[in-house]
Amino acid sequence: MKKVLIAEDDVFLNKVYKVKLKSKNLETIQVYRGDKVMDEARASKPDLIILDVILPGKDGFAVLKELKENQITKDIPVIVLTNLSEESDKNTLLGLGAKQFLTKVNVSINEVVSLVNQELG
Amino acid sequence: MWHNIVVVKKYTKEEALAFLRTNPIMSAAMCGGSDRPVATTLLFAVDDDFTIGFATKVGTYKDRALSVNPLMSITVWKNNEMHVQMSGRAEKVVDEAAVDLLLEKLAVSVNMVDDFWAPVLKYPGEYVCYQMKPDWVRVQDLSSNSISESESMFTEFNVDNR
Repeated sequence: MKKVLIAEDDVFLNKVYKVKLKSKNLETIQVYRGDKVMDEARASKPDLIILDVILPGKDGFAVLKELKENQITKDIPVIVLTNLSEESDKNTLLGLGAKQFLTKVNVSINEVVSLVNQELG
Repeated sequence: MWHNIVVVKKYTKEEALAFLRTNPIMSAAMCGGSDRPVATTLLFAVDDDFTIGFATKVGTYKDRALSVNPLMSITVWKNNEMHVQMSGRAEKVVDEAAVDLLLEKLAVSVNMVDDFWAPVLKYPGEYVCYQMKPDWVRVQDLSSNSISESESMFTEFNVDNR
């Protein structure tokens, strides 16, 4: 069973993704703080990470940079899911190695799940 | 002379709960500080005793209205199937574990509706959770086109929340 790490501080949204991804036979790991993502990614080696940007502890920019600089986690695809909608943020995050940049208000849960499945092949 | 024999379907609590669990969007009416009623649409989760749990963001008009007057009335309706009406008193859920459990149940409710992107998820802000313990519950059969003049179309349930 493939694993998805969800780094999202909105407790409800995090749970919604957990339930939805589980219904698609995907295992999930929930993280609510930016400074916990790296440790959890190294420990659980997820097949994909859904990463919010505005997170307590460490923001998504720093988390993504850290993930991509680490030998264990650098190849894990990261889908950024955020309320930030500036083109400059999008370009920075894609430049740091994010596979997808999605703004929460513009995508449905099914679209996110569909992209997750697409990335997981 | 032929008479139509109208059989009014009476529901069990389990049937009503099954309907509510698979149709987790309700219309809710409340009265706040103004003299005007307000109505809204909310995602909910239901417990075995018909307690209805829901969430909104702190400071929304729903939150403000319930802070002033906790009485509310709800309906859940599906064409050709069932209509559920309830009323009761809403209480804020403050216990951290209870909030977590309610949000977990609401996440399951989100998943019951195809491609549902609950508005409450789209806006930033802190969640506030409520539970409405109904003191009145009734269910109307919408599966039949017939109307009975002698028998009520409603099934009323006794709930011990007064």
